[in-house]
Amino acid sequence: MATDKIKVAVRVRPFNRRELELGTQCVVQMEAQQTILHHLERKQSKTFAFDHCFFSLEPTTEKFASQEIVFDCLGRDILDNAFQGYNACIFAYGQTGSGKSYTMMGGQDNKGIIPRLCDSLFDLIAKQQSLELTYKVEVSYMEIYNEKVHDLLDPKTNKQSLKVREHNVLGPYVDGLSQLAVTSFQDIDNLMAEGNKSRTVAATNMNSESSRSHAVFSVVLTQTLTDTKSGVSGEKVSRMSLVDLAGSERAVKTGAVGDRLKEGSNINKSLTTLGLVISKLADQSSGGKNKDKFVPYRDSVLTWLLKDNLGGNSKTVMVATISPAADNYEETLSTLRYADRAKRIVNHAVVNEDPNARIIRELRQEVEALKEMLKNA
Amino acid sequence: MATHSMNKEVLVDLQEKYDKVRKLLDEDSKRDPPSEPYKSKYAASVILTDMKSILVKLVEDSDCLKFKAMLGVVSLNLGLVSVDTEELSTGEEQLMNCVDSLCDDALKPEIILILMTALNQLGILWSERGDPQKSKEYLDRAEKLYEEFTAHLSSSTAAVPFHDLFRTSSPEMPQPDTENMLERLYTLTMYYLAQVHGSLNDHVKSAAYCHTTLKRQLESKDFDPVDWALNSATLSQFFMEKNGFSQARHHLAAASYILDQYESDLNLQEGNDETFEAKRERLRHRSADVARCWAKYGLMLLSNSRERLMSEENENEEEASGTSNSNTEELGDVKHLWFTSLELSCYEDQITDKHILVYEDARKVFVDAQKWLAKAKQYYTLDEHASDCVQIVQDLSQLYKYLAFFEEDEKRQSRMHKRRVDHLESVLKELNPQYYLLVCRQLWYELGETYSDILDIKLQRLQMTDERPTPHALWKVNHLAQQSISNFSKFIESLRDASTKKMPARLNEDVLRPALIAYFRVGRLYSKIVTPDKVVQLQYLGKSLDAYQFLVDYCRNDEGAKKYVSVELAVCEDMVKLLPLKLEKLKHEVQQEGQEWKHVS
Repeated sequence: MATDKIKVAVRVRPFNRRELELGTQCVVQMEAQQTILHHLERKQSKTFAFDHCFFSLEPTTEKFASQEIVFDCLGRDILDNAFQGYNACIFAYGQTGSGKSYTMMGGQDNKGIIPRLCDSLFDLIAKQQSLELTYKVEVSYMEIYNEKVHDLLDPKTNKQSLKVREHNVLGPYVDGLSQLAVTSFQDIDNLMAEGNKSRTVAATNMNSESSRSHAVFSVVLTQTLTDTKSGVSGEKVSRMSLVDLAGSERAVKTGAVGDRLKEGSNINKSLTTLGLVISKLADQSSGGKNKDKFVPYRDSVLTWLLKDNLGGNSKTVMVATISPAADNYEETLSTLRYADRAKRIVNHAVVNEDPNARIIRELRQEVEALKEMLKNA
Repeated sequence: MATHSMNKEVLVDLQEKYDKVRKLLDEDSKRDPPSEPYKSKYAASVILTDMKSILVKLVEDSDCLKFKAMLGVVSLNLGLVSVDTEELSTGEEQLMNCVDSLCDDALKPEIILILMTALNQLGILWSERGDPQKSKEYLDRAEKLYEEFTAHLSSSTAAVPFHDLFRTSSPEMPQPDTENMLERLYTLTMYYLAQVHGSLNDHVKSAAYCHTTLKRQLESKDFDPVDWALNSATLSQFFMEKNGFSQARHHLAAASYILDQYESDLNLQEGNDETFEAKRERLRHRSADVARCWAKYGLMLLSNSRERLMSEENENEEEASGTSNSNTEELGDVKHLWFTSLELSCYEDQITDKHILVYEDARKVFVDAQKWLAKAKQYYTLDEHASDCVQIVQDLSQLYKYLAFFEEDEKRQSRMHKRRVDHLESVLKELNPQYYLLVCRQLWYELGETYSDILDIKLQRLQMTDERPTPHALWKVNHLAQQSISNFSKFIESLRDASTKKMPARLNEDVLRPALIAYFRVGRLYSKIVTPDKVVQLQYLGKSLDAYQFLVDYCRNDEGAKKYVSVELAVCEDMVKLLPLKLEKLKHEVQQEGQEWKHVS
């Protein structure tokens, strides 16, 4: 169950009406756990491997990945994890029109991951609750924009920037973030809609290179188990976070979504990015272990979010949505590259051990001694 | 030939057009709606094309340098707009036009700014096309151009800014943002070269250009102090990994100098408002980061020094490579990376940049690094930055470990390791494993190793003396072994599957070796416990065997694991063959003793 890596899934949507009318070509192919992107003119195609490739192009085909299938693959584990008291995080990434909203929210007749998750959550609660076992569900909704965190559910304070903290006992949290109780998916839906109204408008301007606004919706599940005889109760608290990653076309091209996920060799024009360039330079190890040096965090808030959801018993999933159309080739390629990079994010909190050459020598001597002793026995 | 008055009209017209273009590009384009993001740029392009045809004619007719320059500016801007509107090929063509038409007059003050801008842009363009080599060619040209121009500089040859070329009357006052345009362009050239060398995997050159960029920012006084300091400190981490300790120390010193200066400035300002507080907070945060970089410098110096001494021992080198670093430093030709405008000796004098040979010197580095860690911990507190706080404690533990290496007295070595235990245990007990499982694992593991290190020191001392060990000494040995076992065991237990409570059949690659080594160490530790009671001995021997057996069984079930623990596996395979025989022998003795007792009673 414990894993240090992100599970990455990619989903390709069906053609939309405009594309069908234009007779657009499909450039995305999926086979088992591979997604292949074809270029119509150049012969070479690019292949990417992911944990899940959801082929949702054509509803009539056998391998069609419906909303239900996507939820079964990604959502169930997350829910199970939550009931066991562990955290989970789903990152959604995709450019405008790639099907991200449909995958995450969907519609009345074809619910996406979030409504299904919530419905299942409340269903399970209804089934399992009793005198001894009670549940509480709360939600919070925040936006990360330009390294600042805003509470989208509190109209009074949502202009203020909140601090992210890592408490040694309580774990990572956002100081002052409001958490509201909910009893159904409808409550959740209403709150999300309200929260969306408060999102930073400037963030949606495609021309802005700094348009990286990420929205984080969290569902906190508190399970209280009471021993009726003694009255003693124990609590398990788990959090499911749904992160909507900024996916503006510009942002992807300039690689402005977290320094670990920076796009390859493009030159950054402005000197404001000198810090990122130097960090990248210092980061690449020259054979030494990462612990030998300290590279200060730059994009701290998003990295912090990622870091704290990796490892231990947390589950982290990324869903990247892409278009099948030939004229979205560049954006699709960017998204696939981004998702590919996400696969390689590993929590570097690996154990470093001292060399044990001396111990080995000693034990070898002991082996010899044992052999001697047993010969003479 | 055109008459003077007609020229004047044309020039005024060109100036107006140029002003319009500037307004469109610099102001209006920022307000373009998302549905028409390039509206202003396209409009500017139209005017520029118009200007181009006018200027082409003027150049044909008079071959005047000024007209050539103006045409160059127009081509340049057409190229820039094309690149911005994602028409790279057209952009390239226009930029190349510009460059080719001007390169004969490259070193003229009217021309140089245009040419440098165009060359920088071509560098960016080729980089966007994924051809860093080609990008580098243009940037190298820009670099050379600047160097040649400034070599021949005299007071009358200041580079002419673009809009001065278009101006038809004297300016009311000098425009502030066109001053030092040449210097700013060159700084960008340096910055772009840093990135391109990075793409070409020449990281040392990249670092050198990063240094130059920082240096130029200093000299132009155009920088944010906190950012600058952070960048300099981060760059130091690169240098120290290449054994460039002098350069690393210098960059750290510069970072501290700039931060201290900024702090004084802030203290002079008055204010309690949110922005002021935010500035103070940012300064506190990044000062703590610079402190951590300093501590890592000390750690790396100690660690490198230790490795050098250990490898010298192994190779029996005759000459002790003295105190110079140059023979192991990997910076090649680009060594001379100093901020000559800063007086840094009071920072640099606090710690050495030479390899450590003796305890006294190690202790000085230890004390310095420890002080930096204490400073960092003031910001990175356990209740607000738990992960960072733990990392700082781990650094402190490493400091003690290295210090112990240089200490010759064993008792004092033990005490240093004991300090490690104290620090690690005290932070471990404050952590909730639900959120910090990976961190707890690291701490358990290190505690296992540290207790084991202390144990080994004690055992060695006992072996050296001929006297029988005292009960207290034996108790100590056992206690240390048990503590070590306990910590390794906690590490192992944490790997169990949460629901089945069993060890996973396949361990994750990241924990595979540490897990198997933990079993290995536990196996050995059980054999170190001393007890006169043979029944208890039997139990411990059994546990020792179990631990070795686990390693052997695991590798049998997972072929791929063998390569991670090949040496240890060989030893364990011997152990699992031989130990059962020893166990049998011991069992036999226990039974005999039991029978003897029976006889007695």
